[in-house]
Parts: sequence; C-alpha cells; structure tokens
Amino acid sequence: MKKFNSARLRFLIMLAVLAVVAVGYFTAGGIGNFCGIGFGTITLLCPLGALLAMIAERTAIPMAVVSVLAVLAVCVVLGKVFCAWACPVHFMARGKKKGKRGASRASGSSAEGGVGSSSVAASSSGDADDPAASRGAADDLAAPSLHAAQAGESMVQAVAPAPERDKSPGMVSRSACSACASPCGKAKGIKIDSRHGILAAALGSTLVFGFPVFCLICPVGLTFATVLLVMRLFAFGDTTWTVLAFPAIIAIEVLLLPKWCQRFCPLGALLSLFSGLNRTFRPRIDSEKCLLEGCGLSCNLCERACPEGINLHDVAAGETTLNDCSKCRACADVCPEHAISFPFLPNKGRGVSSSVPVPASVSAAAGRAASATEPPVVSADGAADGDGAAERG
Amino acid sequence: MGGRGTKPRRAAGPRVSRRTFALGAVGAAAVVGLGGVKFLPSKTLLRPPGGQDEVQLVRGCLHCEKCREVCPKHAIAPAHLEDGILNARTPRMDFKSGWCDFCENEPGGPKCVAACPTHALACPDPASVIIGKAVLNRDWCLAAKGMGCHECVDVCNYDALELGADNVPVVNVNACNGCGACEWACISLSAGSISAGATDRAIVIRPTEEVEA
Repeated sequence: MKKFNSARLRFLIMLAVLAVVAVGYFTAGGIGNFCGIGFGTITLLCPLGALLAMIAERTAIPMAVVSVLAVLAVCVVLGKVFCAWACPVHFMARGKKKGKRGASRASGSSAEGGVGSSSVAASSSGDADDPAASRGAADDLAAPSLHAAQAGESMVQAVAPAPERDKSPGMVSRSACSACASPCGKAKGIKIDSRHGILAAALGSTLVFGFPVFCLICPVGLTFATVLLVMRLFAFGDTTWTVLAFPAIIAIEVLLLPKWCQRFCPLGALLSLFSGLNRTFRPRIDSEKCLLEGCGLSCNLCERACPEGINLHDVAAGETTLNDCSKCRACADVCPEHAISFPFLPNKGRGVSSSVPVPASVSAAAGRAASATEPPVVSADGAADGDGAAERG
Repeated sequence: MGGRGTKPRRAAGPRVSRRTFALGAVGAAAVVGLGGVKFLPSKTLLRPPGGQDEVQLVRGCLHCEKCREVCPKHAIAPAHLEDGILNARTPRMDFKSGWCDFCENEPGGPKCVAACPTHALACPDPASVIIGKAVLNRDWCLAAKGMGCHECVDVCNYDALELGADNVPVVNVNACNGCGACEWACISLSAGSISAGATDRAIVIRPTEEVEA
C-alpha cells in the first residue's frame, strides 16, 4: 500500500529552493537567500530579520514593512507553510528524529511490548512530558508511510481490547483529559510557549544592542552561509574556520537541543503568531472514517506523525494549536483510513474544534474504562513506574 | 522520569509546563547574552561603497548576500568569523578577484547599494566614497627590485599612483579612494615573482583609519 508521500515532495521542493539559491550565489542573479530573496531591487525579507533590522535601525524600512505584511498575508492564507515546505532546518530536525527513532526502536525491542519501548524512547529523546507523543518515537522508520501505516494498524488491533487499553499510556492520558469537565489546554488561538519567549528576547536584545542579534545564530541563515562557504572553498580556495564553525552551530541547535523547531525557533514563533488568523487549509478529520472518533479504537497515528505536536483529535490536549500547523500533510499521509483532509474553507460544525474534540460516546466509554479500574493519574503513575522497573530490570 | 512525566497532567491546568518555561527562559537569556558579542573586538574591514558607516552596516545587514551576488566585478566577499563574530557573513571587499569602479556606467549608481533591501549600504554620492587607502610594501614590490614593474600605476584611474625617483610607485594618499584596482593588478605574488616571506600582494588597500593612524 505504497501511496503518495508528501514528505518526499516537500523534501524535493526544499532541495529545489536550495539549488536555486546556490545557483544564484554564483550567477550574479541577485537572488539572495532566505534572509532576503528576490530579483533586482525587489526583495522578500525574512520577517524576523526585517523586524530586527527595523528595530536596530529604529526606522521603518519600506522593503522590510512590505516583507512583513507579505509574509503575514501568506500566513493568513496558507499558515505556517514555510516551516514544512521550504525551511531546510525542519528536515534536519526531522532526520534527527528518525535516526533517534531507529535507535530507540532497536533498544526498545528487547523490552516487553509497546509500553516498555515507549518509556525507553521517552527517556532517550527527552520529551517525557507527553507519553502519548513520545510513544510515537517507539517505532516507524525511514519509510514512514508504508511502515507506519502497517505498524499503526497492528497497534490499533493490539490496543483495541478493553483490558489492553488501560496499559497504554497514550490512552490513559486521553481518558484523563476527556474526563475533565473543561479542556486542560487551549484549543484555539495561540498557545504561548518557549519559542515566543525567545522571540521576545530576540526583539528586546536587538533593541538594546542595536544589531540583529538572532541572525548571528539563525540556523536557516547559517545553512545558506555554509552552502556559500563550501562553494567558495572549492571555487576560490577561500579557506576559513567558519566553514566548520557554522555547521557546528547548526548541529548544536538542531541536534543537541531537543526539538529546535517546536521549542526554540523564534522565526517559527513569529510565523505561528501570524498564522493565528489562518482559517484555510486546516486539517479536518472525517469522524465517520476516523478509527478513534468513528470506531472507538485507540488510534493516535496522526498525533504521533505531527512534527508540530498537534493532537487533531483533541487539540486542547496537544502541545500546540492549529495555528502551528505547517500543512506538511504528515497526518493525512499516515492515517490508515485517509480520514484527514485539508479543505480550503473550514466546514462549519464538522471542523476540528474544541467543542467537539471526541464524540461523547467515545469519551464517555474511555472515561468509564478509566474509572472502572482506578483513578487516571494513579494509573499513569503506576504505568510509568512499571516502565522504569521494566527498563532497569 | 515518572515525576517529570506526570507533573503537567496532575496540575491539569495550562500545559505550559515548568519545563517549557525553563527552556524559554534559558533560551531567552542566551539570546540576550548573545548581544554581548557587540563588545568583542572585531577587525575593521573594507566595506562596499555605502557601507563605510560601520554602525549602520551592522545594524541593517541581514546577510542576504545580494550585494555580493550583483557585484559585476566580483569584488565583494563574505566576511568570516575570524574577522569578528559581529562581522561574520557581512560583505567586505576582496580585491584579489576584482576591484570597485563604483558601477560608474550604471544609471542607478553602485549595484550593491541598489540591491541592499535594508539600506545597510547607503551612499548618496558614490564619488565621495573612500573605501580605504592603498599601502605599498617596498620589500615585496617588484619595482623596488629593479624589475621595472608599473602595473599598479597604469591601472589607477585617480592619479593616486606615480613612479618615484627610483622608479618605485608612490601612493598619493589624498587622491586614493581605495578602489582596489592597484591591488587587483599587482603581480608580485604571481608568475614566479614571489618575494621571500611575502604573504600578500605588494600593494594592498587598508582601512582608512589604519593608514592615517
């Protein structure tokens, strides 16, 4: 069941953009790079860079104002598409995650069952705060569509019986959430997180020190700088330590820090703020096809596939809201029932929203299942401790 | 691991956990601290026309590389970390591969200035721009060795070089605007004419402050 994989298409588009920039570097085309891209005197500046430059110069630069407004317009229509469809760093971060998945899969396979491997993955990737998400790190390798779909189907079947369901940390967390009267997080609008703090710091630091501070370490800009330096190294013998230092900075940011795009990137934070107005091309679950909403099975493949940490079934329970959706279509690709679509206009009443996160019957059933055994939090604790014991033993 | 994993859920309030807050705070502090590189020493570099106001250049430059790309003489190169962290990726003049004619035949003035989207390069009058000043190293100069070379004198458009009494070029500092044609034309490092210990061409452009100091 090999199907069309948008991850590959996105990768090719990103490579094409890189190639255009690289060709422009040596053909006097004046194309520039993502810090400022365009022809001749017309340039679309990086919105963050444009803001920083205006703050540093303390004047309104026409091209910068136009660029910020243009990016805002794109974000309103298309959302945070830049992140998934053009940004090279996004792919580096994803590649790292895949590598880690492979490693954790190898180490987790010796532990007993899916629960054991998920705890190993959680401890290795450092995102222990959300077992439902970190569970995704347990399996699925380089061929995501095929492998993940197969693994997902087998997992759905394995988890479906009621006694098994309580052992799944993902299921426990969901039942704990839907058991609350009110949703435990924001379902709409913008969820402020660590990225926004760094964005504020970048703006404030630029105001104080008077130069675009973040641009010095921006991994997107440094990627293009590295491309240029490597080209100059071979073309002109332009030898410098910088050609090693820039990749090292990128590696520290993308590989050593946990989840650069989700937790640190101020450009992503700015785009997510801009995308707060976006209502088009938002992912929508067809609840009749969906295994969780339609059939009551425990399937969270879409949530696990999401690079942004969005939980489409219950947006409030996810790490972030739909304004962070980069339209990468990973959830649509991974859904075994093809229940997720990206309609141009939101279909009123059927779209993903906080008011109807999960059909009442499903959440009630889940609530019953949880309360029938023991209080949800305790059961989560027990599961986690059991995992730790299994891991040590 | 159990404690970290369960805390946000037990709180059941906003999922902006303590960890998210800590990451944000540490990251923000790092970005603010990064601003301190402004006070690290950095080299004075030869800038493209319009970039002589160093403060203005560093404020506005977003490292988009457009000025370097559009330069018809390929005289602009990216600065490296070795030139100072603040200067990394900013444009500097590289007279080894070209020299600056201030795009005198272009209707819109220097192309690099026109291409700069943030006015980091801004020059109202190209004729008044002084990129730097030429400096001659007599130890490395072929003319000083009696080889009769006068490449730099021939190429200078501003009458800033003339042959002295011993047929060695002499720089007229007041006339020189640092266009780099002499450095570009200098053959002292090529064609088997390398002097002992020479690491650069015999005539090079230096920042104005260094020459006048």
